[in-house]
Amino acid sequence: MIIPVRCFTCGKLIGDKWEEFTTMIEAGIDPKDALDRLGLERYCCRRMLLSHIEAIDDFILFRGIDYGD
Amino acid sequence: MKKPSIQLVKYNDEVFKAVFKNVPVEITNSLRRVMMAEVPTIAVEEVIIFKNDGFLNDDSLAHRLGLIPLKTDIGTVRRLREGDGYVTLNLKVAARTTERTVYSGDLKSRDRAVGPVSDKIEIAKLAPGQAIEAEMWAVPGIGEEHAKWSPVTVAVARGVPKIRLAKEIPQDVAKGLVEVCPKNVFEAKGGEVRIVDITRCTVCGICEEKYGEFVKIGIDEGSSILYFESVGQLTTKEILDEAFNILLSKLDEFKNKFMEVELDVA
Repeated sequence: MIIPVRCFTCGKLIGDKWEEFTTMIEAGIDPKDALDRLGLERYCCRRMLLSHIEAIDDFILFRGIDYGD
Repeated sequence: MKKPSIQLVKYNDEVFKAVFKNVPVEITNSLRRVMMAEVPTIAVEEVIIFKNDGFLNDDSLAHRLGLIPLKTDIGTVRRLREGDGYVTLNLKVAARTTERTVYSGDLKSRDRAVGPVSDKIEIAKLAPGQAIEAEMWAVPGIGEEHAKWSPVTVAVARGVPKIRLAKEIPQDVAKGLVEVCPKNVFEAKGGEVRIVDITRCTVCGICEEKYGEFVKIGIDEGSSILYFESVGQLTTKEILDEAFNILLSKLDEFKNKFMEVELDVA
């Protein structure tokens, strides 16, 4: 789904780092260096970005039921 | 009790790390617990959703909005807490022809002193033609009730590691010590082993296991290390300051209650 706002374990803010992370990965930067640059030290925060799958991009095209207001 | 002293290791608005010499762990730990659970901040508590066409359901949207840290100063929090006040924020976004990500920067706060920590937090994503319209009430609260009000991420209070090095250490052992430590506590300079930063040591015992004749490690619980990181709502200074105030007022309350009791000593 969409990137969580905070790290599940420690509560650090990660919701604002996903886009920067993906641009860095697309530019060919090693995930380790990318995470270091984002200032994520602990492995709890690092796995949040590393293991995330942005599935919402595939879903948003399908709208919900239109009740016609 | 020996005279306490504080040695700052790292200090800025986000991170605080210090060695409290001659301050027992129990005291720093009570400070840490107050910081986590009882220092008040502001977070979105009520969300009124007028329109939500997006893929995220109302409840998950509200949950995400609640988790966004709102930057405030401790004065505003105190003012709101005393008067049962709240800050209204508005969100009104629509994706017209292209997909659109809703960022925390789209939130419009009625109070200038209150606003999201970062403008780039992703709240939702909208396909063309979808819109979100909501009003939020940010109220002060404490971490005891919900973690979104907690001003700290990690907060650690522990004893200071005690590393006793032998007077004379052979060259190869010195080199081995520097290499074997996973936290880079040691530094070899001119055949002498020096401790770079005692707060790095996690008392894992790898060095003692390998070079037991030359190194002895332990924990000194009479002194303590306090380490915490701010989420961003308050600065580390404000958090520490408020934690002290709360802890002292609790102690005062305890003392007053204690004095009221008529002691019946047999």
